[in-house]
Amino acid sequence: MLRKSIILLFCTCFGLSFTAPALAGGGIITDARTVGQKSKRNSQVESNRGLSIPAEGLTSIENELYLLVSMWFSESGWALDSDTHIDFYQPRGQAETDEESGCQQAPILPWFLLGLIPFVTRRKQNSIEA
Amino acid sequence: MMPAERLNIESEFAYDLLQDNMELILALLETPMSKQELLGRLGSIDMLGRLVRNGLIQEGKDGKIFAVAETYQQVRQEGMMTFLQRYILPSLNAGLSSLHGAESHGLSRVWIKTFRLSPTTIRALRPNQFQSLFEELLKITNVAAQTRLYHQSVLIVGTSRDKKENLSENDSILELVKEASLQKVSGDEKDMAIMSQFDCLADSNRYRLSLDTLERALALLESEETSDTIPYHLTVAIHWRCESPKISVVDEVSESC
Repeated sequence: MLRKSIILLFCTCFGLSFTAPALAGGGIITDARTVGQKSKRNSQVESNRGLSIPAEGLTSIENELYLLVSMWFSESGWALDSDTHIDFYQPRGQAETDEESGCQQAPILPWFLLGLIPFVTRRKQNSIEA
Repeated sequence: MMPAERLNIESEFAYDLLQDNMELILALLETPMSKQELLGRLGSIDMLGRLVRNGLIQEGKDGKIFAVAETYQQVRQEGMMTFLQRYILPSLNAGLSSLHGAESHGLSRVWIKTFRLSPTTIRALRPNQFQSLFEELLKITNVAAQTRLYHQSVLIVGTSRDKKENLSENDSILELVKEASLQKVSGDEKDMAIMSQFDCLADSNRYRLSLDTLERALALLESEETSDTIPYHLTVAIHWRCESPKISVVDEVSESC
């Protein structure tokens, strides 16, 4: 009787462990690729916010400029208006004191303006020629 | 260690679907769900169909829905800013908050390190050392959960670009994220930058194990420092989105979540 019980117990335990789902688990690995391939949806999001630069045909330099401009806008709190309320560019503890804040980053505005120079000069030449 | 079964996300549509349904996929990685339960969470049979058609989930013979692989691996298929906003910044923001003792959603920790490494070592970091780290973290997700599971993210941001002196810790991290994102799109240097994230579900035990694993990985990296090398700035953060921990010291609070 005892032997039968032990065998039954063994079979039950073995059966349970065999049929129960295996220890599961897993994860998602995400890497930043070198050049972004914007989906239509994401492109739409950005164009709704005023930035409409097609990803296709962007050289790395143009892409870098695009990033710089994006970040410049971000510093004005323009782009990071997500639901998660990220105050990424505001140092902690100063959100409600209205103190001047922001990162001490390299000034991006001069780079941006520098990028505009060829267009401005060309336009000026055109107007002179006209 | 046996290589993990992996699904590489190739299509842009699948990338977006995974982004929109990440919590659900993470839950399915833990345990299969009945179709009814899944529909209850998704709210629409169309979405279920899209997830199946794009190979992100599958239906078993018994009607249960499964995740198709142990690991989903993807690369950014969107603009850098939205990528940062969706993947990197939430965890980093939580890490920054914890640095200053401010309350954040869940528990988090951030390590800011500068190693002196050779360019060859730097280029091999992501495919070698950090891939091994992700495999280790993946292994931890197989440890049986003892308490409730919550979303956990581990992110790694690295750049060989110089950072300015006299910046606060916060600003320094932000500067490095900016430099890493720029370096990632710069022709010759792109493989020197790292911006990667690992997402999974974790209970307090898995979170603690993940912390230990990260500390070991960073210590190991320290041992690879040699002379005649360049500085490499690394920010590593972990964010476990458990409910309302009121204490900011992670080691004391793990059990309370």
